[in-house]
Amino acid sequence: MTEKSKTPLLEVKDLKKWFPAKKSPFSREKVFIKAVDGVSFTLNEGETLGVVGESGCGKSTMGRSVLRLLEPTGGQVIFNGVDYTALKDKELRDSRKDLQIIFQDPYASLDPRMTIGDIIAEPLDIQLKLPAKERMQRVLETMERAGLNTRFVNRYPHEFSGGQRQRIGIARAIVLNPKIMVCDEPVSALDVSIQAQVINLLMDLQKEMGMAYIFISHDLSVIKHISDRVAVMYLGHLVEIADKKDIYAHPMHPYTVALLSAIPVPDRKHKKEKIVLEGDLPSPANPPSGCVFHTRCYKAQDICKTEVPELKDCGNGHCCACHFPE
Amino acid sequence: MSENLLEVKNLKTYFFTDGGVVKSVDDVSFNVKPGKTLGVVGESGCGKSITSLSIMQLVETPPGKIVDGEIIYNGENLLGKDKDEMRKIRGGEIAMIFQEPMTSLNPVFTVGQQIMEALMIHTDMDKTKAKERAIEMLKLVRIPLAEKRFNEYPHQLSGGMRQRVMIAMALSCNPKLLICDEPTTALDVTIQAQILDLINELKEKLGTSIMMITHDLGVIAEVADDVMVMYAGKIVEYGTADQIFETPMHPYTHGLMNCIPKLNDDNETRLHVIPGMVPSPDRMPKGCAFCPRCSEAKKICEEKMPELIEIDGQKVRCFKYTSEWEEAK
Repeated sequence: MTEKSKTPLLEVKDLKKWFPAKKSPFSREKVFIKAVDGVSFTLNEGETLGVVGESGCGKSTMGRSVLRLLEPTGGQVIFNGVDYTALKDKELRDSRKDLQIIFQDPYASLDPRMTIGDIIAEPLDIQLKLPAKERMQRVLETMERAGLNTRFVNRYPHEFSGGQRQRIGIARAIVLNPKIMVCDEPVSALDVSIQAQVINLLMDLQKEMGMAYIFISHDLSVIKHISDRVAVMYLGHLVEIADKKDIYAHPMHPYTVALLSAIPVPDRKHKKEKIVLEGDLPSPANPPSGCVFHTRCYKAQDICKTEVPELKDCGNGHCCACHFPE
Repeated sequence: MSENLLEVKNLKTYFFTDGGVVKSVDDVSFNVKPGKTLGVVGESGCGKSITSLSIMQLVETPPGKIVDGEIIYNGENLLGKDKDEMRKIRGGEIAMIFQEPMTSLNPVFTVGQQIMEALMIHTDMDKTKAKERAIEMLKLVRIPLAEKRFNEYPHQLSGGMRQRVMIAMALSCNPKLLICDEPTTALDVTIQAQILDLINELKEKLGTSIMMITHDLGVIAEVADDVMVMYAGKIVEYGTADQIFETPMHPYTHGLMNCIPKLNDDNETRLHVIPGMVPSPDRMPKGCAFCPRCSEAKKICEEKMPELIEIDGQKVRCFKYTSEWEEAK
């Protein structure tokens, strides 16, 4: 997993997604909500990159922009040596089969009027147009892989529980054998006992099929369990990215430090010192000057208000965007 | 005054639906001690929210109904009170914080007006006094620029701020018992840390008893003195927080603890899994409700429901700890 010489499967360079907005309903002045503002990272084959951050930090927008479900405002996504952001209609559609996504809400992401079989077969119908028998064969195989009973192929989504629906979403995403899967908070809506089942399934599938995951979540414990590397986002910026072991053992950015200290741990003996951040996330329409985190940072000094810190490699591929890393 | 602020005895809240009777809360008994926090844990549908709504008598009737039991608050049975008396207790003596702060605040009134409303109903304050007190409460929950925020509408506040307003409102009449139903589930971790800190601090400062309902064992570990684990409408384990976290007895509590990925261990293997899912209420197993998912289940578990037994002050509902276990196959 640490083969540095190999070219990465996916390279994201300076990705930006700005949403236009109006200051007020009557003003002509245009402002931009910079949901994702210059994010760069790489993803290797078969690897899991965990993306973590609080709501509104742009992690979902980032995931969707990488797949071009949202058209990026700027930057490049290079997949397998090809600039994915420059692809046009047919080429784009052809490459889409290698990049799939699973969504957070297992209730909203399945069409209630389609049967499970048709939902899972839809990507096949678009991409491969298989003969009916083969199509069915593929659907049943995939259902088995995702841990669904093949008897349910003609049932409708409302007949399933949350965990099973998430399995249906996963089956739909893996039916084309993608190379990369974006998992956008796939377990956040599930109860803990079901969450563990889905996490195990995702890890098994990765071993079996060799997919790379971009795993988006706000839950640092889940991210720690599933990821190889972890990226931390704050207000549209990547503030830290490193190997999982490094980032959890030696977080460098003050935000990561605070985030890690804030999680309640179900263990009465290991009570730890908490760093409680003051205030709320600032609005991305009007981000603070300099380092975006300086308004809540416990280490902020004057330079942080004026100069944007760059994402620098601090050794071992542990990158951090802070003037005063830990 | 008795030793407990709240004593719930054999509470049964059933829902009478077209599909049959759903026993959402089935024979649940617990106590809340003065100045202490009781944590209630369980997965969705286990009856933890209905338990709290039953105490407040906010269960929608019909289809729901409290069919049996006693809810003794400060020596008086709340179930014997009429509507007017209950209205005085709700928000005054016992206050509640809900999970979703946006839907529980009224969007067309300012947050100040909403806090004042509670004060003017439950105390004999006039408008100016109520306003003073409301601003004081907003300051207490550490809302910056409280005087300005007083005149703002809920949509102008962030999720964490709204939850603070909810807490300010709940605490404004000095309740003796505060029921928090998943107060931090909709919030981010850094905001969650702020809110939990605040709830703990206010408990110390004001001596309020708290009933904390959540599915997050981490939150429970941080705030609770006593813990009650619920599954399918019944208590499966009940003890002090140290007992529950150090020596969990029920297989379900074990499962819950082991199926969450932990920050402080570097285990990379598969997560422990509780197979299957919570049985649907209309297809409850005859015996122990957890038995279809339990790895240790024996024949006896399928046949009858175990009683809640007490061992060294820790209560557990499982045959493993009875004499019948050795004989059973």
